Amino acid sequence: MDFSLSEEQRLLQESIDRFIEKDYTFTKRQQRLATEMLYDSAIWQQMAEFGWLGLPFSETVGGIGGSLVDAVLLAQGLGKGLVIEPYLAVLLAGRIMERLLGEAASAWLEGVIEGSKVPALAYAEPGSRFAPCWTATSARPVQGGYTLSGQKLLALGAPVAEELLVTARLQGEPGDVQGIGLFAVPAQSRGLQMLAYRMMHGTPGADLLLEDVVVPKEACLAEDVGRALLTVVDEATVVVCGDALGSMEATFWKTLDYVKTRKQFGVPIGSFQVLQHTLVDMFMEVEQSRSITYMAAMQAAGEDPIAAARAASAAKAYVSRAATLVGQKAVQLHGGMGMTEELDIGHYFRRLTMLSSLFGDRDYHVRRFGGLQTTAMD
Amino acid sequence: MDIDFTKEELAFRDEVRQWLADNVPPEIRKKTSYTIPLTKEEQQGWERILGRKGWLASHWPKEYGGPGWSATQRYLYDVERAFAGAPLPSPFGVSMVGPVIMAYGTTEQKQRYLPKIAAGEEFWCQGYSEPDAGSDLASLKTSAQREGDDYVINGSKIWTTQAHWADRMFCLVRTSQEAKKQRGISFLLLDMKSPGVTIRPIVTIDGHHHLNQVFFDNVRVPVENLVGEEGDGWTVAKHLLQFERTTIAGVADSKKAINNLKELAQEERDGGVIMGDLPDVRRRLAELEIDLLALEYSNFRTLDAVARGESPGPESSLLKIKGTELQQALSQLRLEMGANRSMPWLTDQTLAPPAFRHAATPYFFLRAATIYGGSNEIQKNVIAKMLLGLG
Repeated sequence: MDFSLSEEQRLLQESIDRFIEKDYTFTKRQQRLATEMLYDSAIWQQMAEFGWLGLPFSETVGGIGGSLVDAVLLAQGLGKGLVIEPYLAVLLAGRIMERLLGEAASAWLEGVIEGSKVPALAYAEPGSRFAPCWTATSARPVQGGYTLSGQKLLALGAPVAEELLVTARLQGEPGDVQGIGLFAVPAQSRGLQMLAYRMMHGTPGADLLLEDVVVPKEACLAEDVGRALLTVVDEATVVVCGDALGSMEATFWKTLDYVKTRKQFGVPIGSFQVLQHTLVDMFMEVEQSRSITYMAAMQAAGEDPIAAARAASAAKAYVSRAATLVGQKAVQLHGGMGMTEELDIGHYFRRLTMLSSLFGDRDYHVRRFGGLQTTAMD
Repeated sequence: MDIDFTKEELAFRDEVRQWLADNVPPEIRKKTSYTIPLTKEEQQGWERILGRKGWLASHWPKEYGGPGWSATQRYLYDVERAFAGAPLPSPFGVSMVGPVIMAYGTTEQKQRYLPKIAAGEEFWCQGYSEPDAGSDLASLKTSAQREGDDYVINGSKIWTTQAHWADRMFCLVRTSQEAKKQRGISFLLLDMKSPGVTIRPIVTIDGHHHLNQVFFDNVRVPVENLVGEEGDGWTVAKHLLQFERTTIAGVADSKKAINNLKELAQEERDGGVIMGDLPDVRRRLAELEIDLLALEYSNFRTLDAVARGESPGPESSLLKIKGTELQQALSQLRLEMGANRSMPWLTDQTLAPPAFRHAATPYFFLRAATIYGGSNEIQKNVIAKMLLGLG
């Protein structure tokens, strides 16, 4: 058993902290959010140069060959810094390409890793809150290709991607793991309507409406991607736990600082026992979240896909509840100040609320964890 | 004990229901149902409709322009109001300063202010909290110095809801530095258009502008705008608290919110199943409905005690704590039912139905409910001290 970080991992953490301190201060982030600009190519390029965009991919496809633990540490740092760049889109789209195509994915990944293109994977749909394979979007074979029709929700990074990876059903019914294809769809395709927005925590996302979008035969990247999708969403789920952990840490320390300095009734409010206990509750949730997130990150490296899926669901179930609690308590302890856009606490709370839901909330993952004990992976 | 309504009360309810069905503007109904914030024009427009009917100041006696309803009638009206998709009136006039003026105001003050409140002609705001006086309200510093027939006000108030809408403010100011801190406080009414008043908007984490900071730079207020005696402001403010009790629990709006959630759960599906059939959703809806029932009957008991002339006590702290926790829990369930569909931020550009599209606004704004009006921690101190004899 070894929970210590390697030298490389410590350097990774330091480089993120320095980046946030220098180039990603809260003030700069606020100015950025006040504009319509969804994408900052200079920042994205910087993230590529640090090697962060190539971190989760193996060296055989041109990546850094980082582990899921490394990806979690990166996310933790980015969460702590309230970074809004769509790094999760890189993980989702890049990892599913690597998993499906192996070395053949390297040409596609090149631009992603060097930061010249932002990828996006659109899989979530209105028919299910969280099940990745509830794919109702259809892919009908036509002369020389396919037509795609359906709806996608909350596609991370989609507004800034030139090309979208879209899951669509070739066979079977929504919910079936089998029969789902992965299609490369140019963002400018006829029949594709993109409803672009910022998500609750500032990252660009989009809902997609596909109405008989015609794509050529070679746009079908793989024909049976359900298993790969589940695995990649599980990986991303663990990474989101890392992001939430970083956000919770920052939220906790800032709140602890605040109750030591804010005075009412002539004393710091942190001298009141009821508030001390709230801080202790927050502290315990942060530490428990750290433990279960590291557990899941290490489990994912194992050979057993069901064990990895259970670990991801266990971590997310725990972290979802913890993130909600820590965010809500932080606002409460900050009083009116916690309610304002001017202070970072509210922005951490929004990020924690977003992450608590993303890739499955507590109810979903508790249910999934329970179901995975005896039956096959879904 | 008897919880049935009389025939007359049921006839009253039907009359109210019909009138609301005929008079709530469709746009207001829609926005209120989806918890979309109203504009000043919309809020005031609706309050004037109510004012003309004589129902805006629904808990005021007839002599001051209210309908003179019994506690039961007020309850029936409030539930009908919520189910008709009509917003609560802005509380600062009808629920807060109005009753204070009735109890402590001079004849001139009553004649000058009450009719305009009851008619929905003037908006009020509340100047209590200051940057360094939140939970410790009695340490407030905004000063009022007597100069001839005026007080001269200097200082700042914060978290002032709707200050940017308000024609007038009622506020607590320090008129004496010498007295014990509560004794140096007075209750003043001021015109928001007075020279020296400036307003800074504060955008909250729901992305909207409800709150403000208000600055006073040598603002002159005539001495006749003092309510009660100089130095009696703390007593007047405490008196005001008991009038919040009629709406503090928020029973009617929470009832409507649960109803909306149940309908939504029947309309929406998750993984091929009607959401309302999912065990998690069913359980959580049922639990919240049970909490609401307990709150509703606690509220009835308090109303009944007040109607029998018992002096209002710290029980209202219980209603505030449980009521605000329930409001928060309901908004959270709606957000979680919406899931991916509630995560796009402040946009109409989504595939989500409106109930989910607008779920984040109340979720974030209602975090303030356990902070404002005396934080829930302070309310628990009140119960511990006044009811349990602790501390």
